[in-house]
Amino acid sequence: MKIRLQVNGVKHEVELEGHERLIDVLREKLGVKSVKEGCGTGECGMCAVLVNGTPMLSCLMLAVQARGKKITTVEGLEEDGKLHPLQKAFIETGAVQCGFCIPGAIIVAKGLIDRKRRPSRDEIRRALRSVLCRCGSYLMFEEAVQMVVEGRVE
Amino acid sequence: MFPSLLRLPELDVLTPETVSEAAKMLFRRSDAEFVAGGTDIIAKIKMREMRPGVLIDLSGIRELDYIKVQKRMIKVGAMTPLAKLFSNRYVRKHQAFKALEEKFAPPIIANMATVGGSIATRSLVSDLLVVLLAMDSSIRLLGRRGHQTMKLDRFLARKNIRALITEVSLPAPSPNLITLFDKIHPSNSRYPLASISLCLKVDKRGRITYAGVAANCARNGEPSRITRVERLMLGKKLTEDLVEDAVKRLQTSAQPHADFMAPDWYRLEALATLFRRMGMKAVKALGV
Repeated sequence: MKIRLQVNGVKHEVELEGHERLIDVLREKLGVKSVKEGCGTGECGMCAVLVNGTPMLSCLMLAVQARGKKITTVEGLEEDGKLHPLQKAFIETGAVQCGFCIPGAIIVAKGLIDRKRRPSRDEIRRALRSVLCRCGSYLMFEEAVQMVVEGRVE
Repeated sequence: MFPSLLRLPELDVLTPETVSEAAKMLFRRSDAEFVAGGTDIIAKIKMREMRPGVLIDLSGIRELDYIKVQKRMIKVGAMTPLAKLFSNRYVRKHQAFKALEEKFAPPIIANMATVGGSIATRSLVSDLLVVLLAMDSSIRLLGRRGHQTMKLDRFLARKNIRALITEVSLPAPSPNLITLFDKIHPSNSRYPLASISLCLKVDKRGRITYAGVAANCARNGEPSRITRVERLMLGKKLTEDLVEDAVKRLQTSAQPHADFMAPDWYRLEALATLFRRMGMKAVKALGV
């Protein structure tokens, strides 16, 4: 079957099989490699993408369910070659160790600040529960998001 | 096999846009299953725990995504995401739903999982089921013989119902009604080792006119109401002594299972402890 979807602002028409998931299409047909399959069962959040602005797990979503939707991954956050403030804040705070979960963490944070301009620390922590960071960098994630919320990064 | 190395097996996907189309598709193929949010079924298919020949994707059926209040009942469309349910101002007046949101799986799961899907899976990991059972909720189904309404506990007791869940009805909040929920989970996951919900309604004299108690592992690892505890509480005044009696009754009524996550005695003790805490909270809020 053929579906239409928009990925990081670019419209695509994709031919796919029923059993293909959104992560399969993003990685293998559209070359979006920031989206990773960690646990494959919805526990880790490595495959998080924004679907019409809401964070969702692309490993548990059939590609056909994304028909007509706008998908945003971390590749789609920069504008005119400038990193998104969240990306800058993650760099500035050094909120990276192995880096494997960072795209998922940034996407989850983006979903939060788009929905609520000034989330509380508790709300930031709750949102970041969607990502399993084995390096334990949560405090730095939280600080990075807080920097953006408080406008301490451009 | 590590789950992330597995792909989904080949299967067809159908994409109905209306409730009646979806139901017809289900009746046409005996190997068809519905997929709503996908948080449960996709992982099960991946792990080869389920092998449907065709999946009927319900995500395009917009008519099933709603929350409305009618005749002192909250009606929730089956395709309503749990995040939308949790953030509804009216639903949040039930303390149980506030606690549910707090203790639920990661928020990203609540963005995807739907009310209908959480019921259809009949899973002990579905915290929503526990709350809905305690509230004596009803579901509306579309089966071969048309629409029918059924109590949720009856639906769970009947294993082989092939129908589309279209709506869930639960009582609207009221000053003499209290609904509570609590659970114990491992530190690195929200998998419920034991989860329990209590719903009590009292009259002006403080007598209990409705008691609902449900747990995720109440009967051999299946979500169920604990009716012996409910019967003990019904018609009595809500006091601390009654709560203690109910705890003892619970300890001889619930039959939790043992697995690699926890032994049965641990789950029973956890249920009793959580129930006592909720009972005492209810006494403070509504008791005499």
